[in-house]
Parts: sequence; C-alpha cells; structure tokens
Amino acid sequence: MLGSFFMALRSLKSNALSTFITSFSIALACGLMMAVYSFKEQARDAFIMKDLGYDAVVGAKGSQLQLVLNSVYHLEESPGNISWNIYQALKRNPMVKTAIPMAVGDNYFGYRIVGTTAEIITHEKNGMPLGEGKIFDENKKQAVVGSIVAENTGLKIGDIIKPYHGLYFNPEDMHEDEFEIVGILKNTNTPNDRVIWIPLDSFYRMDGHVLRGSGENFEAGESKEIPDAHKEVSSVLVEFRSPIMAQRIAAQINRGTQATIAYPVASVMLDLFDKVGWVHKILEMVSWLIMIVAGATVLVSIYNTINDRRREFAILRSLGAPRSNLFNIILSQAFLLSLLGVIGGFIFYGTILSVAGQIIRAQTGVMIEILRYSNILWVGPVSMIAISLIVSMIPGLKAYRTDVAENLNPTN
Amino acid sequence: MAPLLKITDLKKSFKSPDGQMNPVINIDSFELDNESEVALIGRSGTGKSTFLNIICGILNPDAGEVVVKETAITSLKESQKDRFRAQRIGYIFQTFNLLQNFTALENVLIGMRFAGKVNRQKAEEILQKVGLGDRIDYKPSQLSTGQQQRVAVARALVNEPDLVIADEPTGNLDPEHAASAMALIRDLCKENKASLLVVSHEKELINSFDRVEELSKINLVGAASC
Repeated sequence: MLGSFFMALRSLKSNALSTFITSFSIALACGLMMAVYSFKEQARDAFIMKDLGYDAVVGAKGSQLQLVLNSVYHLEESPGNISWNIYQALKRNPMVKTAIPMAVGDNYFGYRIVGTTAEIITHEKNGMPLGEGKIFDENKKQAVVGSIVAENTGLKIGDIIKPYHGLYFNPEDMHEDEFEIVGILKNTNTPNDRVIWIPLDSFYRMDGHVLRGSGENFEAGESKEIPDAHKEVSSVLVEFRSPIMAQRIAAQINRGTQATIAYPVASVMLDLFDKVGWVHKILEMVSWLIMIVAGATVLVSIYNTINDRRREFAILRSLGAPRSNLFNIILSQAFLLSLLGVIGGFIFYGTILSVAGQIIRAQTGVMIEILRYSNILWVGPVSMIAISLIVSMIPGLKAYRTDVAENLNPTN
Repeated sequence: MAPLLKITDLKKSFKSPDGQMNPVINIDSFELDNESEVALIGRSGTGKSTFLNIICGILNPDAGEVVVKETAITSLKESQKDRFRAQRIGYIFQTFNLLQNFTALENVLIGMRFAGKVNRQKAEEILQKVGLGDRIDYKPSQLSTGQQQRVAVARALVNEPDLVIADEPTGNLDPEHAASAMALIRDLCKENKASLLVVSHEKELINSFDRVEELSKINLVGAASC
C-alpha cells in the first residue's frame, strides 16, 4: 500500500478520461498488432503447414497454384481437365500409394460439388470423419455434405438436392438430376467442410455434362456405359510411397505436355505466400508504427499532467520522498496505463480474429483460432509496455527534477 | 548538552533576473534547545521560508552549517537528507500541502512511508487525537480549512520528529481556529518531546511563547535592509 503503484493508480483514477482515451489507443494498437501477426501465422499454417494429406495434385497443363487452389482449397476456376488415362497410369504406378480423381464444375447455392470416389472419405490416413449417415454408393445419385454446407444450408439426411451448373451459383443453371443426401461429415476445419461430395459416375451422367476425354463429345446420360477413353477428370490427388520416387514422377509429368503436377503442395502455397509476403510486411510495419504512436499518446498524456502535478511532487519531496520515487511513480503510471491498454488489446484481438475468422471460414472453410498460442501474444503486449516505459522516462525525468522550494506553494 | 538545532554562518543568495546575486539569508548563529519552543516573527520577504527550507534540507545554503540532533544536515547527500527530513523533521505549511487525491488517513500514512515506519493504527490514533477520528476517509476537499490544518499537523507529528517546523501554520485560519490550531501544535510537540520552530507574523498567537525572535534581527540581510 502507498507505494509508487498505488500513487500512480490514484493519479490515473483522478484523470479518468485521459486514462480511458490513452489506454483505449493502446488497446487498439496492441490488438491490431497481435491480430496482424496471429492472422498471418494462422493463415500460413492453414494453407501451408497443415497436413493436407496428399503430396501432389495432377491436373491440366498450366498453373500449379491454380491447380492446388482449385483441387485442395476448392477456390478458383479449374485449369481444365486431364484424360482418364493419366489417372489410371497414376493409379497403376507402384510408386503411387493413393490416387483419387476429382471432377468439378457444379455447385449447390455456391457450395462446390465434387465428383470423386468414396476413397476420399474412407482413406485410412487422409479421409474425413462421417458425422451422420453413410458414404455415398458410387453407382447411385447420392451425396455426402461437408459440415459448413450442412450448417449453412440446413441440409440433412434424406434431403434431395438439384445441382447447379458452374462453380458459381446461378439459379437459371439448375440441373434436373436429383441427389439424395446420405451422409454429413464432421467438421474438419479444412476447405473440405464447404464441399458436397458425389460419386464420379453420377457426375458424368448429369444432364448437360459432356465428356471430351477422347477428343469427341460424349454424353453418358442415365444409363449409357462410359468407355474409359471418354472419361476425364479435373485433377487427381496423389499420395506417393516415398519422396525420392515422387521427385522422379513429378519431373517426368512436368516434362510432358499433357499434365501438370503440383508437388509438394505446401511449396506451391509457400510460393504464393512469399509472393504476397510484402503485404504482410507492410501490415506489420503499420502495426508497429501504430504501437509507437500509442506510445506517444502515453508520453503526451503523462507529460501534460506533469505541470499540474509539480506541487504534488514537491509535497512528496518535502515529506522525504527521494527523487527516484517520483520517477518511479511516473513509470508506474505508464506501466499501469499500458497494462490496462494491453488487457483491452486482448479484447480487440479476440474481436478482430473472431470477425475475420468467420469471414475466412465462410470463404475457405479454414478455421482461425482465437485461443491458439502465438509468440506475438506476449511479444506484442511486452513491446507495448516496454515502449510505454521508455517514453515515460521523459516525463519521469521531469518529475525527478522537480524543484521542491519553487513548487511547494499553490499556484492559485 | 548540545542544542537540537545549531546554525552557524548560514548564507544563501538567489540570482535575480538581471544576473546579480541577491543575498537572502546571512545568519551568524542560531540555536534551539531540545524540547523547546521558539517563535520567529518577520515581515514577508525577510527570507522566512528560505530559512526553514534550508533547515529541513529542501534548499542548500551557499555557506554555513545546519546541525539537527548532532547531524550536520548540510553535509548530507541528497538521499540522506530526504530520509533525515522524513524521520527527524515535521513540517507544517501555511497552505497545509495535503495531497488532494488521497484521504486524510492516506496523507498521514504517506508521511510515515518515507520515514520507513508505516503503521495504520498509529496513523488512525493521531488523527483521533487531532479530532478527525470520524474523518479519516475524507479527502482534503471534503474537509474544512481547520480540519485540513489538523491533518497537516497529524502528518507532521506522526513520525515523532525531534524538530517541528511550522511556517505560518495559522495563516489560513480565522482567529478562533488559529488559536486552537496553535495550541494543538504546541501540545502535541510537548507530548512528543519535540522542539518547535514557528514562523508567524500574528503577534497575539505567539505572545505565549517564552522565546520570540525577530528574524530581521538574526538575519543580517534583513537587519541591513531594515
């Protein structure tokens, strides 16, 4: 009791408005800084570090990034199709452990419909947990929906849906085919939560779907047998048996003219993040600048009170307070102000991440976790407190130098 | 027995705006015995406050020595002076100089803190003694002028100082309260066996003092100007 902290606290209390405004600006600065860094880390982890399950994606000749975004993150347009032969060649290759075909081109109210095999759900390592219902029958018009789709559309087991043509929802492009929902997947916090999975065969048979694997147009309809030569897929997810063999296959595919392989998937995304890294750098710089500006508000807020408090300091000195005590009171005041701001900063941080997280989840299926540990959650607050303590040394020194005899008498 | 306060060849000047040094204090000798009282009277501008500030170590003299309780306060380092002032000297100001953001009790406790002897019970007791037992949680702005003066007296005496300095302690009080405040200060000093040095220009209040000195007579600067 009655130490420097107590005295500083009293001073903050008696200047409540100034205390509120200053700590609010610190809270904004600190919250923004933590959110920028944490968001960057989590986005990077979600898109790069997270175990995506598959080593590579094979698709049409073109951009590897577009291929990965389309096949793994279910974003962007498909770069085109590859023939069924490429899929089969991968499937048969002894160096390939798993090859799962994917066909895209339809949506249900904006949620992507992917034609594939049941293995994408049942795969031992990379499969998706079923929440309720069952996996689709590969020979029937059935569908399994991701958790976000179910959550946002209200789809449940037994419901019937009609897909819409294209990757983006247009009410005029509705297919007449009906698919029964037979399963709902558990939440995985991945882009897969935003997908409706249907059997590849029924994808081929949707009205209006034309297969061009052989170079000629082929419409399978409801019952026509589909020769492999006509089949085509948008991409193939590949899991290799060993990284050494993967390198050889990747090099071989990329040398050819028929397909592109994005391998490893993480490095493709890393390239993307490196390319947009400057945006993060600017955001980081801005957040540091805001922290410094917040530090300046601490300086101004305390400095402005020093003149009014010269008599108080002189009284304390006359009572025997050492000069260092006055310096400590000012530093304690800065510490308490910044501590208050930092606490508020965590509230801002939670709010920013919560809002941004909801948008990102809705757009990509990736979950941003507010409570996830990140070094910035202590580096940010400690830096803010350190900045406040450093700048408060200026008013601290002014208090330290208070002339007792000159300031003991009231000014009015 | 050595006097409680012994001042020798004390000199202090201040620089005027035109750069000249203006002497304010020039005292050859001044003494105050243990457990004694002295009243200093003097007009405004005769260096009363400067003199008191030098005695308690707030101001440094240009020359001379101030010894309080056998300690040459003028030779101490600043931090030692601070500690000495907190422990050995009680200072009562004309304007009370209470800390406005703190309660009466906290004002007294802060006085104890710098002397290194915080004792809440003792602080409450002395406030009780000066008649503010029911006002300990009041802030100065919630107290009357007379009550504020009593808090200042309690704060000055709570550390049981050897020397109590009172600079126009009743200057802000009406005559009735001034008399009772002075009586309170003197009683508490006697009770605590503290010596009292009062500066005042209110002759009727200090008539009862055995020893009354005119500052203009002991301060040669003042004597020269008179």
